[in-house]
Amino acid sequence: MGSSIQVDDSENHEGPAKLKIWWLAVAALTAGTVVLLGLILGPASLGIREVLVEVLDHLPFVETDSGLSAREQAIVWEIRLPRVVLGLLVGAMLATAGASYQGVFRNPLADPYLLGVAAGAGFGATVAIVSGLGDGIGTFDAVPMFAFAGALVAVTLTYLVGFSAGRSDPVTSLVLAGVAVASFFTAVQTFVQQRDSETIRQVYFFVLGQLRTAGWDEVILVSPYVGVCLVVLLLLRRRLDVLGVGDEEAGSLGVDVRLVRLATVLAASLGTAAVVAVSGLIGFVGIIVPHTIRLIFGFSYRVILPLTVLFGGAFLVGADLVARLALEPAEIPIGVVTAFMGAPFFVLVLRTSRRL
Amino acid sequence: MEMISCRSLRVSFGTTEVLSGINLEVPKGGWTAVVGPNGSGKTTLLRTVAGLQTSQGLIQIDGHSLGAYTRKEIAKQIAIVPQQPVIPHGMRVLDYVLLGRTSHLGIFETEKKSDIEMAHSSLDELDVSFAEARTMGTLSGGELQRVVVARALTQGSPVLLLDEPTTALDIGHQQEMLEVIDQLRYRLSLTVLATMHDLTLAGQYADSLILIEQGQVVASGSPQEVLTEEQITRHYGASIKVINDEFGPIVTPVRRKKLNSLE
Repeated sequence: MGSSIQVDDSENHEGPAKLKIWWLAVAALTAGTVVLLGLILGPASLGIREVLVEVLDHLPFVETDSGLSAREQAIVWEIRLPRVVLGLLVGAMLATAGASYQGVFRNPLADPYLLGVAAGAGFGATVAIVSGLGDGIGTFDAVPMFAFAGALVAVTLTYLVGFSAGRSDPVTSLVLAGVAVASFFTAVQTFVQQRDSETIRQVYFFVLGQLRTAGWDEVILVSPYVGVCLVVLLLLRRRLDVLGVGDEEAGSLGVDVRLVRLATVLAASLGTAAVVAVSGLIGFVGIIVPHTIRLIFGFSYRVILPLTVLFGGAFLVGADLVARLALEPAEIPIGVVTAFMGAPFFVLVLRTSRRL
Repeated sequence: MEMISCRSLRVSFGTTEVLSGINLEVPKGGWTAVVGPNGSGKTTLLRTVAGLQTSQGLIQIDGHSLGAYTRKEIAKQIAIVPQQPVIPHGMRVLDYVLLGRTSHLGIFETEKKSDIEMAHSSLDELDVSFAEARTMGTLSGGELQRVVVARALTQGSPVLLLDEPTTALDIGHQQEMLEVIDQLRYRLSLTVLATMHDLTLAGQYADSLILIEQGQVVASGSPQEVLTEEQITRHYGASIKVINDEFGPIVTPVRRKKLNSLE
């Protein structure tokens, strides 16, 4: 008003937090590159062109010849591709669930395992392995089923305990209930495991996480859960931004806070339970990916969640590549790789980011 | 025509009754200030009118019972500026102000151009457009208060509830804030209900006052009727002087007794 220079700044107004197309393109390109590397690298090295043509050949209405031998085709189609796709699904789900939990609980340390999913899945898997069902009943692998059931039981228990306990501070009581339930399941799991020392190695591998697949079964098993849960979480992303001002203010802005929290936690927990059942307990993804994206691209969940889906998938496929190749022919548990690569990278982002 | 009307409002926390039988009417376009000593139930009254606190009794907004509204419908009627808002430090100011549009968007919808224009004009109204690209954590106390009010304004609701809108501000910013609210009230025909600590400011800006003590209305009416030396002394246990000014009574503390420390 007092300024002598009239500036029409209506054109300079910035828009709201929006996902820029080129960010999404970078994320998609990263994921695509990692997927391609996942297909061509391995004990049998395959050419990029041949692999691309081979994948194209499997699309409907496309008839080409990649020139790969039948054995090589099987390596791409039956071994590497399902593993890479599973990595994308698991990474996307864990990272997105972590980001959603961080929003809903307004706690930067929240990870997908906060409400007891990991402990429950670990317990379920241990029971299946110890009782000898791990080798399969016929062709049916019982470990994922038991892990999935254990995870769901644990989260449900956390939810029931948390909501019956705390009316005044539902967030804190839910988190504390998660701590109690996780401790309990971990104790029972350890007890069951100790009684049967022969299977300890198998249980150990589950706890560290792995993306070894028998084929497309695991992908088929988890993709409906991951698909539905990711869609729900992505649709709720603006509501997660509103929750940033606390329950009461979010309520005064017109949000049914309990409903949004319930929907978010259910979707994140269900998706996590599904992927944990097939991949074991891969740690760190749910914390590091969303935080890295936050530090680089800003704090709005409208931006964070879509990018987290893509980068989460890319990160895990990349980590799996290292897990497979670093000590070839031996495999490093992927959970070790995510933490080993992730922690230093995260420190780097933390130090160079100007957003904190 | 009454915009806000409360009848026999009761609120209990456990066995403690915090509000016991409050009656309150605010006419359309009016500004009523809720005053009273600490712990008298001012904030609870405001939260109750906003539908954020379960209560007994009747609350009507524009002739409709509040209980019949969903959260979203209430938000379209009532915007509230809390005393201590939760500030998401990393969020940009424009995004924060746009949160005000939440009740106008479907659950899966994002802001339209008109919503964004509304946020810009609210920021303009409160003279904080310059800060729209900054993050919330970088604002000063005065800027922050304006931005929170801008968010409430962006809600586009006819009723504005303010909980101690001047607490964090110095005396100049206090007056500036209340002037802005008064202008907005006339221009946008808002109905204002505000809890206020400062009795002079309450008397100078509000049309009417209600004085509550221990959850009950002990005086209500025009500033001249409520802000008397006798009533303030009785209900606040304060020693004060009231000076009459053309815009309302000026309430100022005075010291009656002086300890003679040299004796």
